[in-house]
Amino acid sequence: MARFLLLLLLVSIAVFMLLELIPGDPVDALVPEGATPEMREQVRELYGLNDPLLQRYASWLGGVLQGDFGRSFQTRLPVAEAIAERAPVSLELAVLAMVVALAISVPVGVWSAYRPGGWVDRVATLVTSATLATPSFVLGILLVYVFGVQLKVLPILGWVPFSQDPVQHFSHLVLPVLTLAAGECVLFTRLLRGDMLATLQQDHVLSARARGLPTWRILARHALRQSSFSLVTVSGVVIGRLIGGTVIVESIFSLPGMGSLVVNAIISRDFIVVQSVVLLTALIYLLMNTLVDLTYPLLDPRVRKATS
Amino acid sequence: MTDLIERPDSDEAAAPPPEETAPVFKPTRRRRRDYGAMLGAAWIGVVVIAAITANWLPLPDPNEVTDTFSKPPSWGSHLLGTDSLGRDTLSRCIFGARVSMAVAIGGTAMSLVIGVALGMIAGYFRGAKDGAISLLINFLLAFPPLIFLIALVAALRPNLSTLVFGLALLGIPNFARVARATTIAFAEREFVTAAKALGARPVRILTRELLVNVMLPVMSLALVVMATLVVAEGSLSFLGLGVPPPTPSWGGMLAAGRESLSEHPHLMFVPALFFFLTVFSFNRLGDWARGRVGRESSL
Amino acid sequence: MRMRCRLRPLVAGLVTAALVAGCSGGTATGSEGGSGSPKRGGQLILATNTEPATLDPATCATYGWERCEPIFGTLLRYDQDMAVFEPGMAESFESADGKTWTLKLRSGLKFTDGTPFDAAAVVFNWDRIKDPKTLSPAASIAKKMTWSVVDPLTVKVTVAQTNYQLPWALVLSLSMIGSPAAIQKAGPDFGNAPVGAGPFVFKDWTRNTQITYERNNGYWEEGKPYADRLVTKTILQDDQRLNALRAGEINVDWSLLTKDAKKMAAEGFNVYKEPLVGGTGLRINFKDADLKDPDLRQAILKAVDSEQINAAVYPGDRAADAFFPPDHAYRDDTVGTYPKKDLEGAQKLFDSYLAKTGKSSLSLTFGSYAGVPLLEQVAQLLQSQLQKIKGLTIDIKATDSPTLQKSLSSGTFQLAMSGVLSQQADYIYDVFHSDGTLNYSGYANPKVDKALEITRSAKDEKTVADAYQVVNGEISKDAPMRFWRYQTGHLYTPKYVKGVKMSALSATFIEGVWIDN
Repeated sequence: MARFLLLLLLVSIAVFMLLELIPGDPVDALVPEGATPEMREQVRELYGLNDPLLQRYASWLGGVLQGDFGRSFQTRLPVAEAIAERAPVSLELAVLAMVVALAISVPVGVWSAYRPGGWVDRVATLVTSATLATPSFVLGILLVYVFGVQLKVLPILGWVPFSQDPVQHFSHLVLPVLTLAAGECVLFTRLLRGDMLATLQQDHVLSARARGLPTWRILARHALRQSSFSLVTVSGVVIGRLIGGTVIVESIFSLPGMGSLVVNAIISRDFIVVQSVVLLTALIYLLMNTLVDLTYPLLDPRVRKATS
Repeated sequence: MTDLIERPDSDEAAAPPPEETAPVFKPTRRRRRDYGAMLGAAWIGVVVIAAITANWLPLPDPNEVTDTFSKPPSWGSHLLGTDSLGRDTLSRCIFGARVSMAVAIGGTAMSLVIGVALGMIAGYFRGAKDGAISLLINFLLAFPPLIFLIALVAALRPNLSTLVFGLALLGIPNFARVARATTIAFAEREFVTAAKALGARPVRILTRELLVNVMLPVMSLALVVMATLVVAEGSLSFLGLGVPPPTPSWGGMLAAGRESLSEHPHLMFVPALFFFLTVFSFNRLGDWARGRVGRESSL
Repeated sequence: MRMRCRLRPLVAGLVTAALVAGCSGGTATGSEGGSGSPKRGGQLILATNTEPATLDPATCATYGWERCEPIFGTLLRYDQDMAVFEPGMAESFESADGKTWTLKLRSGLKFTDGTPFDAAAVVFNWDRIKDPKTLSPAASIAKKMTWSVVDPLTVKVTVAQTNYQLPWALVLSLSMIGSPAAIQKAGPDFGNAPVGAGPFVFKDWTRNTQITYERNNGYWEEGKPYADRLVTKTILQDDQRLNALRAGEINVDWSLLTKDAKKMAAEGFNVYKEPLVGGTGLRINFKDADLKDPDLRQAILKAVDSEQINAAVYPGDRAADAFFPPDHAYRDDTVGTYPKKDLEGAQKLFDSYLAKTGKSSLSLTFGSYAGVPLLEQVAQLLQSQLQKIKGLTIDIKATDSPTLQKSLSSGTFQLAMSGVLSQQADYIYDVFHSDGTLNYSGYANPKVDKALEITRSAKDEKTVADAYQVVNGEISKDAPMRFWRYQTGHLYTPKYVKGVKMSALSATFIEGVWIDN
């Protein structure tokens, strides 16, 4: 726990210092063109930019500890509100990408492990290595080109709130979710295949086979259940990572998520937003990792044995 | 790409220790020769050589503007076509390979050296040193990687050395983790304890006895990290934060090509192909190396 | 629509940058989009490439006019076809001497929160703009004005220097008046929950996505607005907006690219055009240690090839050969044009510069925007054109916009990509007058100063035009800013959208637009 907090503190200090190094003053992004020196001074005063570095950090951290993330320099919105507005977008993307990735990789992974070297396995291996070699910005544009430009069957960019039009909402999400899911698919398929290969060799599975239980039952009841533990825990880590890692996808598809929030904030020197978002992403990442560390030994006896 | 940056690491975190998963029998038929990896090696070789010798190759100046805008690939004067400013695409791809290769090789080498040193120290000495280094590694991992890179690039003016440096930082945790785990595994082996008993100093044990064993898994990881760094550099260039123009880079070419996707798709497809082949090759080589090292791991 | 008229994408960031290629403003040459009597009802969905950071009228009258005009209306309007100022939320704004002006308001006007739209409200808003804490881009204009309430419907405005162009302020940056009660109540949040007296009422805002508005049933103009609902969407890429228009997802689209206009006209959409003043150009720092030399500057200008830039990046656009376009009333080529492309001449001038200074070569830094593909291409073209001068090296320094803006405003650049764009010529006073707030080049030409002063102090149109001809000639010859194309604002609508009349900011007065179904 102490270590956990220490890490968070380190991350927050590092972001603060890093942002301090960025040339270009937040003031320049705030004052209108042709602003007088008097106006600039006003801004510095207003946003506490004249205070020494340490004091600014301390006052920001003090606010955060009391649940107040401050107000964005740019929009004057409370940072918490800006994040609350963006986080659902990123979260929805991440969760949907996860679901799609699992929906594809579980059957493929299971079948590949059941019939290693079979055609499913070989095709899957080929496709996964090809996907792994296609960076998300290439895949995203490729999907845009095929489905948006050539076939014209899917909208290629933008965000429609669910409340406004559910059908449009999801059709706008198809391409970004696919782009995001592809990478995770590879991870899950390979993970599951490896894990299942080992499980399928275990005694109880072999004996179940010997008893002549139907294939699907062996796979689902005996093998998959055991392998799903690692899948679930990895999913946790992946979700934590996806939330902060959707920058490129958001940029390609113009989605108003956390990624574009923080990139815009860096560019407009809206440092208070950057600090808060990075702190939050780090928090989620660490939480998920801790959760995995805590639950893994409970779920999988093999690890319990190894760590003891 | 964020996901890719961390991918080599995730099996470390999630997969059970290797000896536990060793299957009873070889699950896949291992072919005698891995043609994929051979082709991969050939492609990387060609790209590296072309990048090094680009100045002497019979290519037009990659920055020379001509009046044939956005010409599609065809036999003749511009084999892979020209970009929207009439510059030769083949030449730009080859000169762009310099950026990708500098990042892949330079960045990986840097993070390998630092990461392995940290990991071995942590794994050998354990205790407080291990605690501090693990903290540092976790700290690096807790940063959202692309956000970290964007901020870093904004802080230091983007140029090739800044990029290599920033990307190297991202690779460190992967190497450190593997080096640490391997060191721990080997530190209890007889040849190490024997060396200890004979009074060998830690530096000697680390460099003479352990380094060789650590380097095997590290080298296969290095190939995967190369792939991820090429992608990470591409992402930054794609966002317009890579090497400054007019220096060609694949990511920058992609970003420019995206603007006229419907009219001139080749502006995007050519650099995309270079990306694909390069990353694919590194990954195949990585898989191959991992197989050689004998870790039949899940990834 | 008026995007922010300068190269400073504030919010949209990486993405935004595309818009940088142009911001606009201006009046329309487009005519009425249809015939027949207007019909009530329906939903208007308009899209542009960026949205303002705030809906605070003090800011968004300048950066985001089309998002705020529905909420606040404007005190005055400008009719491009007739070239006259017209009443808007205010009844009149008149002066006998160009120094003392009288603003007359409409009686009985109320903000949508029920408080009166009166002289006190106008003065409250303007005082707020003047207050440096508000950070209003209109503060520099407001500072030169004083005002007082005469009676509930009259405000007296005075300026120290005669300025017959002052009504522009009431069309643009000082034109929008918010409810003082709501401003006081909401404090810094007013920009997220604006209250005005315009044709529509603000409903909600999903940032970087869309703003929705409902009809203001208490709006003063009879029968207007015609639409029941208005949505303004932010769609960054030009191509995307065009596709959305084709698919019927939006029904009013905006762009600055001539090739888009041609495409849409061919596909049977209504296209409205508005010529703009200025654009994005190459800015030269006259105070720089190297560039203060006129030979060097002329050498650089002679190496610029607008035709090549347009052919590669802006197909279909006319290459700029002077500040105002060829057929413009403010153009007189006998005073001066941009130096013609002449590489030999450029080399000669450059060599003489080298000889004079004893240098053997020269390297200049060229600040440009990172992550704005079109402008990156232009920067690379310019670099390659200027480097045709032997001995001259151009080093592109691509940065994000706050960094570039900083180097502009602090005068620490040599060459830079920089934008000044407006719908009205008066704007260039600030760009080229030696006291101008946007004169980052440090350009000081007594002839230009004098002529610019005349454009404001003269009442007679002919005198103003003559003065602008001098300005145009001088600033083209010296070219502290060298443009390569003439920008035009465009609006596209399907045939069934009617009543589009381009406003002063290449937006449309949305209250007059109706849907014929």
